[in-house]
Amino acid sequence: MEILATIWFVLIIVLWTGYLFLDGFDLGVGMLMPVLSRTERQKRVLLNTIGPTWDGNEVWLVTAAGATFAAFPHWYASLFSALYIPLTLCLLALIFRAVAIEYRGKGHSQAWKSFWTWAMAVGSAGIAFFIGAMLAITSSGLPLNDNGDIVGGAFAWIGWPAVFGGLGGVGFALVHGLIFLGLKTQGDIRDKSQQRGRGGCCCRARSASSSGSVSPSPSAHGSLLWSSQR
Amino acid sequence: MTTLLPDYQEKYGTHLPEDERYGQHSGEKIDYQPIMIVTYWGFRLMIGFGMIAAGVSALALWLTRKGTVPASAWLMRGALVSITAPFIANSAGWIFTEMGRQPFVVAPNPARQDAVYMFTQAALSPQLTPAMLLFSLISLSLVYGILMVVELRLLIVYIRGGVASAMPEVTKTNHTPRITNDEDDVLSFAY
Repeated sequence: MEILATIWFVLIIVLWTGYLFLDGFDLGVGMLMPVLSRTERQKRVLLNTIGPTWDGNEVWLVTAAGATFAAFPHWYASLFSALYIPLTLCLLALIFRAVAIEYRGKGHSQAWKSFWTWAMAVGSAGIAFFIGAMLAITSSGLPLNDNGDIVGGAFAWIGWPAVFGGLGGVGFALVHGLIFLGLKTQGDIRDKSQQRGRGGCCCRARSASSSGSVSPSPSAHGSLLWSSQR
Repeated sequence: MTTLLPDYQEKYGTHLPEDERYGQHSGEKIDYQPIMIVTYWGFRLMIGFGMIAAGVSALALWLTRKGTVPASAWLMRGALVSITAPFIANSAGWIFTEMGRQPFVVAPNPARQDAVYMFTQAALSPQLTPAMLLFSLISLSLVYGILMVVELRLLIVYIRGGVASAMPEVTKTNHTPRITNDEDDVLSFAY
């Protein structure tokens, strides 16, 4: 029994790591859409770098949560009933991002396009924030009683680990997105993203080492990317 | 119901056990009867609208036999309205099943494997307040409702517009466009 539990735990880690690797840049590009790109064409370029693959990358999140549910139901139950509110907000953000990608190209007025660009940026930021917050809370600990229920009410999860984890998630996704755009695009956007990506990596590495064990996985990825950049 | 009630009370208890899993519902009296009006009408709506959907499909198959195209405007309107029938049947069926299985979340097996059953109160997380549940229910319903309206409007625009509205590059020239400039490749900008 012990070996099976270990195998599943490792599998869940693999799935979460895979999700962060693959959806990190999707979220980053989504957040960068209103910021990095000026013209409509540049916005379309950003959207199309992730266009064909974002859906499959998001599925890794579903499999990670599903594996947690299947192999460790008590963990799943405690985690997602204690973190009910961040999970609901994360789901709303996921809905907004997905719909924004699909609907943005379907209307032709400027109001339509700018609304869905805004929705995509806010949705991606929300996902990155809440996933980072939930991962950090899992690492730093939740106040649970013997039965696995949260102690202290609906908002007992709010604290510095959640905030730093969330901001770490957002920062990680931004850097990841910038580097991805530096690889995938040509010309003006490529120059801008490479320039900001390098600066972002230095900041990320510094802040990751100072926040230490608060957000383990984002800082690991930040340093990995930084080393690959050189 | 009156014949089953003493049977159930004997096998599964008259009150919920005093267990921590039940949270604030420990020791409550169990009502083995679900809300009958919802169960009764849920089932009939489900079967009724399901048969309407099936009937409309059969009728459409009959009316378009041998490649005939029906010309009646009322038929066309009726066909559009009938799109809602499976959705109503689906929703009614889910409401029926979810409210009819109360107070159990895992109903005891009628083939007498009575050890496997679970009350809904045991399956709820005790620390979830009604406020949190209402928040998620209302916010998700609102978001889905708004998105449904947006999607229906998009559908109507594109159905009325035909091919020209969805793929203008196909109808601009008489033949498939030859992509000379890589920057304007349609597939590169598919989104």
